[in-house]
Amino acid sequence: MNTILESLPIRILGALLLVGALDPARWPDYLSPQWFLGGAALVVGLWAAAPIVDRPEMRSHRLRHQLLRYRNTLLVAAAALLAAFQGPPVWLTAVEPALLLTYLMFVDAGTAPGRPAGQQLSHAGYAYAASALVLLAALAPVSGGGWGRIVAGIAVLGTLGLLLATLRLRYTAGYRESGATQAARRH
Amino acid sequence: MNPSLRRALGRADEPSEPLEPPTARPDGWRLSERAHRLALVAACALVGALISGHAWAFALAAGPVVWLLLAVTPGSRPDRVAALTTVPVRRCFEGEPMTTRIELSYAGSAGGFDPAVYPGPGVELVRLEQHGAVLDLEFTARRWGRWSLGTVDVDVYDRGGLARQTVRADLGECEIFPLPDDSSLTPIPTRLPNRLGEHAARQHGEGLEFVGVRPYRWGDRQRRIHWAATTRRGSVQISEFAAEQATDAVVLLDAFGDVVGTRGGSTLDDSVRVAAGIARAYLRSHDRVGIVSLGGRLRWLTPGTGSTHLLRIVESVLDVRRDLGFQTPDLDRVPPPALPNGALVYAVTPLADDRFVDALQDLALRGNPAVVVEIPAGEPRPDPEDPGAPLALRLWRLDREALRFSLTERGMPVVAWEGENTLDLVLAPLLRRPVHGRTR
Repeated sequence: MNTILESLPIRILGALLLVGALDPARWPDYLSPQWFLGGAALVVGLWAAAPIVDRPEMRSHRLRHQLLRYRNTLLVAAAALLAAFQGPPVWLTAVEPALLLTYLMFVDAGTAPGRPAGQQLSHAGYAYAASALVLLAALAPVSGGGWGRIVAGIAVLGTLGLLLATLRLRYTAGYRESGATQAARRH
Repeated sequence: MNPSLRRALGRADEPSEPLEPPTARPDGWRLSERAHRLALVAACALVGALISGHAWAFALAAGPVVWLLLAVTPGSRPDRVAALTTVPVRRCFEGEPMTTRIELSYAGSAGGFDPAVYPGPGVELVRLEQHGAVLDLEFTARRWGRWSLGTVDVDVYDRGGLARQTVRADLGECEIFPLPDDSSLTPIPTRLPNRLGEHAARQHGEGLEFVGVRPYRWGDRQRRIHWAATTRRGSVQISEFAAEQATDAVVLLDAFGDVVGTRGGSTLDDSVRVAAGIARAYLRSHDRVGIVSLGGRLRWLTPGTGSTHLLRIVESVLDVRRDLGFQTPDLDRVPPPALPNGALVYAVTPLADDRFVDALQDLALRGNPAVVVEIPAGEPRPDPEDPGAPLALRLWRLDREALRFSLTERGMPVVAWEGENTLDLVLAPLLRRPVHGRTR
């Protein structure tokens, strides 16, 4: 019971992510198959979103076991795939990537060892920024009008700048070099 | 259970323990679960966006792609990863903790460490602490025996958490000694060997236990005159005392099989605890104690004395069970050199194997006084739907009774120890008179 309560926030997050991927803004007001689908997504999301803290080791090759073991990954991948086929309103296009990144951040924090907390936060910030930038570029009115070319140019420049910042961060992250690299550099 | 322990054990929800260590891990670096997850999400979003033509869906892929790019940092993987295992103490008694330290060494920098512990059979992991690249593990064994401590696979991650390498540490073996059952009573046979000890023998001697008076003979010491009897009888009477002698005891351990006892435990576990308790009681009385384990690998130890002899005895019986394995019996007869003439034999057995019963009959023919300490085996579970099951169960009980009766008739008293009471309560009836065996 305590485990369920502890994982309730991330379960709700996962459920919202999966339901949001079905574009609930376009569901009709009357009872329709979309509502049943949404209900099923809610239940599946609540069940599959809880982080699995077991070690990543292959205990069985059965499909059922594999689905159970990797349900976190399957949930978020399915949400991304479903959402990509929807044409939701603008507010939902902003909410869905944010939910996806937040869910990934929480799942990684609980299950992937070896990453300092500060690094996780900074990397998450860059991921949010990249996602927001791409979203802005996607939603920018680049076709028609005098502002279109300016907006498109800003988007291209922003993407290039983010790419450069990412590459620069990779090489100046301040990690300690391995002994082999240091020895090679001395010689 | 502690979350770190649960993660390290990884199979706490599975009822059966693995008897074999896991197969060898793949060498070298491989992608972590996080890398797989981020790549899959990015690929799904990209494919979906390309097929559907929705440009906004690229935003779903952008975050995971940036995460992957940031995590792929040159030089973030450690080189030459190795594990050094230290087990300070490999011998202890049941229930005592055994600490193990695994120190990971590597060149460069590493991310996190994710240990997977596969304890050997009979060994339980109770604590796991991680201080940087040092893992402290604490095991405990609930059952005696010579166990494999287990194997530890440590996943070493890079700084980005995208790749991992597994290094294996073999923890080696440990020896878990049984806790001897509390016992202080030492029944003795009718005839004791002519050696000074603490047991009052039937023969007259220089001991402390008064056994009677007799008329004075030339050469008797004056301080032994019993003045009261002398006054009463009118002639000089001399006090007589029993000789105090040591005895030889040999514990015969039935290791032919290991069956479920009445309390659900292992009869072999209880047998060895009883054997150790008997041996300790006699060694405290400065007697000589030996042991013979019949069944499996034949081990025997000639009678000896001294406090360290108990450890030798216990160590000699550890081999009767090796990691819950089975060994074909070498011999089903007691080797003559292991059994001194007139030694009191304690046969500790569940009386579940005919070969041991044959060995007891052979023992009775030799004339050694013997006591059978029965570790009762659990009754067979009758099938509730079988109408003949109650009758079969009754026959089984009668057969056991008949076996006990026949042993008693051969001069081997049978006492049952069910583990609830101390061993003294079981052995107390044997103190009424010396154990005679077939020689009266």
